[in-house]
Amino acid sequence: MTLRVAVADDSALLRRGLSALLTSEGLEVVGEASDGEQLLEVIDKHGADVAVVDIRMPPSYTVEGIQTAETLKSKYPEIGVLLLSQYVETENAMFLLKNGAKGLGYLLKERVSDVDEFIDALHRVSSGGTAIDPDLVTRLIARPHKGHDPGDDLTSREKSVLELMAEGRTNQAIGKSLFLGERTVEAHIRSIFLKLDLRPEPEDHRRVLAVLTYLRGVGARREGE
Amino acid sequence: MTPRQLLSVVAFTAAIVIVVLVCVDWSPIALQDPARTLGLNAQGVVRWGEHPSRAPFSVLELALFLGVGLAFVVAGIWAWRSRPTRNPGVLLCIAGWLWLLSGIRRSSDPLAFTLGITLTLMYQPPLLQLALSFPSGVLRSRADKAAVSFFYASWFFAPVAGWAFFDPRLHVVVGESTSRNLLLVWDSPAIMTAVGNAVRIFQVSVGVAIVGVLVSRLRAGTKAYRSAFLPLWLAVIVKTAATVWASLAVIQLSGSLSWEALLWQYPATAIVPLAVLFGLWRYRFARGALGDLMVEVGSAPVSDRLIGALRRAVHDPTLTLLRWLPDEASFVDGRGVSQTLPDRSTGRVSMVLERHGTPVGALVFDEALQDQPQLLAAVRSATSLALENQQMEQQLRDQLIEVRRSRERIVTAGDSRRRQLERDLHDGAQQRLVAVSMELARAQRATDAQEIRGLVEQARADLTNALDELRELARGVYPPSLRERGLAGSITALAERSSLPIKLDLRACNGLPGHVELAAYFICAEAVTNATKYAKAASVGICIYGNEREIQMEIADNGIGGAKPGPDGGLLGIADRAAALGGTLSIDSPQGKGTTIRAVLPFSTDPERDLS
Repeated sequence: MTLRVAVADDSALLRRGLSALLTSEGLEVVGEASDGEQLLEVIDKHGADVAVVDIRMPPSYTVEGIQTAETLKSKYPEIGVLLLSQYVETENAMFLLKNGAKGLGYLLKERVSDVDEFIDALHRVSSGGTAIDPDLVTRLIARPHKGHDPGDDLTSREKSVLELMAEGRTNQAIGKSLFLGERTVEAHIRSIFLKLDLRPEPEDHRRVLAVLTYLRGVGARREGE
Repeated sequence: MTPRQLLSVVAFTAAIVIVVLVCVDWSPIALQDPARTLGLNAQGVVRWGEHPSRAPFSVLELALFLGVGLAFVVAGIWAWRSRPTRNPGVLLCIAGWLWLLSGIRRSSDPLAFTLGITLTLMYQPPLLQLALSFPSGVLRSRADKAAVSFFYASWFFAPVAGWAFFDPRLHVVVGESTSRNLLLVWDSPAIMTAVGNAVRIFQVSVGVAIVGVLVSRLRAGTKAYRSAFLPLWLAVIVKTAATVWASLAVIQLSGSLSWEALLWQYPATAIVPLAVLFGLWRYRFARGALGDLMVEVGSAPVSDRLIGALRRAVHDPTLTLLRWLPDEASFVDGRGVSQTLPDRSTGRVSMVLERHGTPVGALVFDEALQDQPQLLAAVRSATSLALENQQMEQQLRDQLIEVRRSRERIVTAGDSRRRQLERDLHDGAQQRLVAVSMELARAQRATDAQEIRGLVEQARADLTNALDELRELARGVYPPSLRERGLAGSITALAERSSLPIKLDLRACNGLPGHVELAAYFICAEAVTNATKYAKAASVGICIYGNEREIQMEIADNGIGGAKPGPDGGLLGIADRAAALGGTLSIDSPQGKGTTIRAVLPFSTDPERDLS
């Protein structure tokens, strides 16, 4: 099945580059837009499986992309939205995911040049999964803290699994990237949830939210100490 | 009053007193002679001569008489000394001298006697003149002057007319008179009585007229006039009452009582100079209030309190303080309403307060106050001080507000420059680099050699663009040539990059402090930007010269002009930059005549400069 993609970015250079990249990878670009409104028009007209949206667009050049994602999601819940940005901020991620992480992604712009990963993220998001930029996850996990943190009890393998979970990977993808069997991954995940005192979540996108919330919460506690 | 004048007045007075003392004839027959009784006219002498039990002239009466005269002179000296216009003092002295001189009436010498009887009431015209010209002592209207001349003449001729037909030696019923009247033409009691009655009617009419004039002036006058005149006014009433009582007493009362009435004349008359002294005391009191005024001025801004203090100090509740507005070139009152200074005919005068030759305000007050230049000088300096204080305070406030504003603008300008820089990076170089990375990714995965070459070529071009943009941005943050080649080099570089022809005249650009170089560079850059972007100029000239303390720069274009330093414009930014270094920057940009920006940048930025 060919993935049908709509591209929204106010920079014509990036729009064209992205479209060319996606087309050459065999994806179908249904239309390009320079802002959120145009994107909605494109999708109203042509439909799409996933929209790649620049977070900073006219008119105010702040987080129009997030608003566009919300609008799009409320109108077409089945369409995935992948936000691209020059910066990834936890605050923006949590704001984007506040109503659930289903079919949403938030990546650094330069991730597009890792073509396989990028296409994978597009597929994941279009099928209701989540894609969170590894930078953001790494930053959350690596934040220095004082005192004891339940995360300290995780083994290094468990930490790797946690990171991939936070990025929105499926068990299968986690197993594949860590060269582990799916059952082993599930065991690690159970252990992580037990150690972090989290309720197990069956669905991947809920799991992402739970893990991100946990990581942020630990951060907030650390800062509050 | 000079010491010499004082000495002359004292000497002259002493001389008169000595003459009077020498003239008094202490023989018993002279002492009881009614014709020599001080203060009586011909008619009075007749009546007095009929009293069987009248008291003879005594040392007490002489003392009272001399006391009154000296009181006039002393009050005159005081008035002369404490008032800048000497007129009231001179009039009081003249009245005193005339009073004292009439004492020679007690002489047995016919000439002295005759002179004495002629001068008996001559002390009154100077007092009338004083009353009419009060408090300045200067007669203002022609009518006043005519009236006063008339008083002197009639007061002189009235006794002459009376005594011309009266020989006292023939008309003393009780006792005898030995006084020889040189004015005598022939003795005629009938004519003398007729003349006396006529004179009395005349003098009463004149008195009533004067009272009427004074009452109307009192009512029309300001409180300052009333306040100054009131003591004299009361004294005149007392004196008049005493005179009426004495006249009645001489005619009606028995000897001892009428003698008392005659004696009461002296204190009643002495009240007049005392009243003047009291008036002076009130002025002194007003001057005392000036001390309070200074204290109040020191602690209070120009306010109702100051005006209140001024009014109390000069006893003029109508005094107003006008402020000068240089922008409108007019005086305004406390409510900001424009006012013109009054002219003389209104009875109010103004005093313009100046500082360094320019007006700062004006005081408007009753013209009666002009009589007291010392008081007014004190009021002037107090008020000027207050106005100056207020102006300095205002200037300080304005400067502080401007400093706060420019500080805010500098911070805001810095913030917006950072924001702009982030945006330029985000939309420019960063996007290009992302695009490059995408192109390279595509090239990596492409199989067709032609396509790969195309993508790599595109990526190279985008990289070059990204580098150019980064270089421009870095230059905007800090011109690298400034560090490498100094101000002249960086401005030359600026001129080379500009799309406009720029004529340079750069002197004194070596060895400048870093902050001055940077400010000078940014001023030039902003001026060139303005000339290019907004002024539609065809060329620009940059001229920099200076000395060991500062540089002066002038950047002129031939564009459309009309440039104004707006709240978010770069021109205000460079003005703030110059001001922050303790320099100045002016923008001369008449519509259609090009823009010239001039700046002076000192090398040492001393924050305390210009503040001492």
